[in-house]
Amino acid sequence: MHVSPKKKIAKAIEIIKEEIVITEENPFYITGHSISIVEFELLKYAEFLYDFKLKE
Amino acid sequence: MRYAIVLLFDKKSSDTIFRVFKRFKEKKISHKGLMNDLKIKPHITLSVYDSFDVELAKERLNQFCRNYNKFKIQISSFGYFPSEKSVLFLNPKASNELLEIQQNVFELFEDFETEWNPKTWVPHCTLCMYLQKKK
Repeated sequence: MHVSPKKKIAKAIEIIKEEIVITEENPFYITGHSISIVEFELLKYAEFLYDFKLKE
Repeated sequence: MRYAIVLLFDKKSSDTIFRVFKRFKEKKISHKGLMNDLKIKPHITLSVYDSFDVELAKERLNQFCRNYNKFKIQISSFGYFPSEKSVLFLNPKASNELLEIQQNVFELFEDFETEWNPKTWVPHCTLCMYLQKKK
């Protein structure tokens, strides 16, 4: 069954809102933890080769 | 072969974003741009190279990361690039720390060609691509 792009975007936004609560007063924080070298080919594969942790 | 230098997140943040990836797959949000299918970890891309020396990069990044503290990134919204790739992304606040690390990675590998210039870099964490089929 074909689902219109608009409906997909609406559904995607609904999922994000359910999983990640973002409000002006309450932003979502993530921590930049490490840097990685990734070998990739767009839409085919991505291999995370090496991770380098940032300092605590 | 293409290579990217990316910023990864702590486990708690990554797990939250992985849940979004998983639910996008369950709901078939995209026909080919699902991070879950492509085995992509949640990340912010700092730079991309067509030609790269991985061994040299390992040495440089090993040293570089020893001098860099972990830092918090505020996500205050999400957004959508309505381009051919139709990318849905989390929108991090362009803090000094975030801009600085991208600038420094760019300078660390300035002997390799990249289009990911700090002057035009737009930090984002891709959640999904190709929400629309190519016409």
